[in-house]
Amino acid sequence: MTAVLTIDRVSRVFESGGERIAVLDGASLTVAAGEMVALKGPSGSGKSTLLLIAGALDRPDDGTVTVAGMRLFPDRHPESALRALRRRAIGFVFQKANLVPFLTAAENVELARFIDGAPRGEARVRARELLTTLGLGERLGSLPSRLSGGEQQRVAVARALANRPALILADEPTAALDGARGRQVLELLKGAAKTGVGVLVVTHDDRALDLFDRVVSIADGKIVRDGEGSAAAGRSKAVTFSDTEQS
Amino acid sequence: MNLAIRDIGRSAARFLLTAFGIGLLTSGSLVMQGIYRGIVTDATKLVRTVDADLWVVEAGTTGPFAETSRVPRSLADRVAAVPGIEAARAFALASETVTTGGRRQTASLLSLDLPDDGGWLPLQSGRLLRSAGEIVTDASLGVPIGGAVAVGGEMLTVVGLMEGMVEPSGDPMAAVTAADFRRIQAYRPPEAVELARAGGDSSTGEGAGLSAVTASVQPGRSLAEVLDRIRTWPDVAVLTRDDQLSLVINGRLERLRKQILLFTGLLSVITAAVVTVTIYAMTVEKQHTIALLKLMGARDIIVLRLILDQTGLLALSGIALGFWIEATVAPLFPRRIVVDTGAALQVSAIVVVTCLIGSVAGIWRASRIDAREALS
Ligand SMILES: Nc1ncnc2c1ncn2[C@@H]1O[C@H](COP(=O)(O)OP(=O)(O)OP(=O)(O)O)[C@@H](O)[C@H]1O
Ligand SMILES: [Mg+2]
Repeated sequence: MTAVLTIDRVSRVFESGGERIAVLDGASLTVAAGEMVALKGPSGSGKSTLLLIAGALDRPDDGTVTVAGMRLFPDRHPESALRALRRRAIGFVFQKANLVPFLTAAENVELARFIDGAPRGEARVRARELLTTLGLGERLGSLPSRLSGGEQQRVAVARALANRPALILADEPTAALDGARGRQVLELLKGAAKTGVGVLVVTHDDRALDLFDRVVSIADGKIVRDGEGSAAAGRSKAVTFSDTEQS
Repeated sequence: MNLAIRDIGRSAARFLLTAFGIGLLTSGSLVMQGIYRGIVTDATKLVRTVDADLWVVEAGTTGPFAETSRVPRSLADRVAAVPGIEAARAFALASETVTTGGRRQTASLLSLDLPDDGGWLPLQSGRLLRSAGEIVTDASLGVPIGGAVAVGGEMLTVVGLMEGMVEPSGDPMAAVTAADFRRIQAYRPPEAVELARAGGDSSTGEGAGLSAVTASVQPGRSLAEVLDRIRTWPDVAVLTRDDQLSLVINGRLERLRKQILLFTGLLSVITAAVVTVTIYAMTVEKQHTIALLKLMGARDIIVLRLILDQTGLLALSGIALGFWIEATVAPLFPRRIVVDTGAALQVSAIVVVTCLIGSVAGIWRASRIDAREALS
């Protein structure tokens, strides 16, 4: 399968107060098209940093990064090219839904198509279609403030899917939701993966690990475990990662 | 999808309030411009009404509208004799105190040499002068036809009313026969005569001559040729109609124009400050949304449009409100306010440019927002 995200021996060093901290230290990770990968690790282990690098929002200090065929590092690209990559090839979902407060649910999804220069009518149809599929057909005209946390997060997933990205990056998308609603959101992402999207999800939630094809664990800036998740065909659910559980 | 309008909808009250503030400032500029243009219209009214090709005035002066100009009575005949001159007319103008129904006010008297009855004057009602003892006044003097006006020892009867014949100061103008004009000029109140006698001064203020001679050039004849001819006369100076208009505007109204320019500039600075604060605040409020747009890969133009559209809408609503306010308050002003297309365009352009300048701070702020701020 083709890789939509390849991170190879990537390092990221932050300097604070004269101290150099290697947040990422030779981390490698691949996400293939149609694959749903979980990224687990203790707080401060560098998960979000890795996601920012994958999302063309930060640059590593070493290694190589390739997203949807575009080598982001060590190559250099103008900001405009990075934005084009983000709007066309990457969908983002975060812990908070991050919706535009003055736009309705449907308009928040349309926004992604609008940013990509799609005609208004087409953007509308796509937004309606996605939200209906995601069970929000009744809430198209609602402002984010009128939606529950779970509904908001589903709108965020619809927005991430609007431009048919090759890769979805999700940073703890279920952290603010209760178990059932969290699982619902992950199931939506799983559905996207089934259509060929590569999905990388930072998660602390072990209850839904069965939805992932692969679980990658990170500690101290290194990938300490990269194994098949329980969703992988024919695997038992016995595979656990309690040894790398967050601290 | 217009993000700007959607965002404004969220804070419509504040937006409208700001637009109203800009509207007030705009109406201030419009009224100032209107007052200035009104004054220019009034100040040039006489020159435009007389509509002479040439003004022959006292040598070394710039004519009766700028300073005292005295020319002899015989000058009219001399000018009329110049080849190419169609007609020459004596022009005499003097400021006098008139008494109407016990009320004293200042009026500008214009002398007419009958049979020239002032057919070129903007008569509104009544008739023109036919004989001595009559006066045609601007309606703003407040005396109806048939009413009496006392001036310089004479008692004149109003026979006609004119419209818009006022001095830049707002004083009304009036036309009298040359005979009456001379008598009024020569008049000294009895007490003054007594005083003068006591002081050994025997002059009784002999009626002075004319202020100028106006002339028209025969159709088909070159104005320059006639000008050159009269310019060789040592005792007079010649002004064209345009000279006269620009003298009135640049000479008499220069300070006023500067004043109004400064005031308009001040209003523009206040407008810019109001717009800057508003657009900046709106941008800071949208900081998270702008970061999100960048994170989602929006081009800079989308963020720029968001701010510029709001600026434009603010400017447009401000201008619209400004015109509305101006139209509402203009009738309350005692002086004429002339808001022509030129003034409207000028003020609108100033507001738009000012608003654009005001949006610079917001644009600058937006350009410094990092996509990753959407995550915090
Ligand atoms: N811009 C930065 N400058 C300095 N230090 C940073 C910066 N970004 C992250 N760090 C540090 O890098 C480390 C890893 O941060 P990161 O956000 O990637 O962790 P994480 O695995 O996502 O943690 P969590 O599970 O709490 O979200 C932390 O110690 C953080 O303080
Ligand atoms: Mg994190």
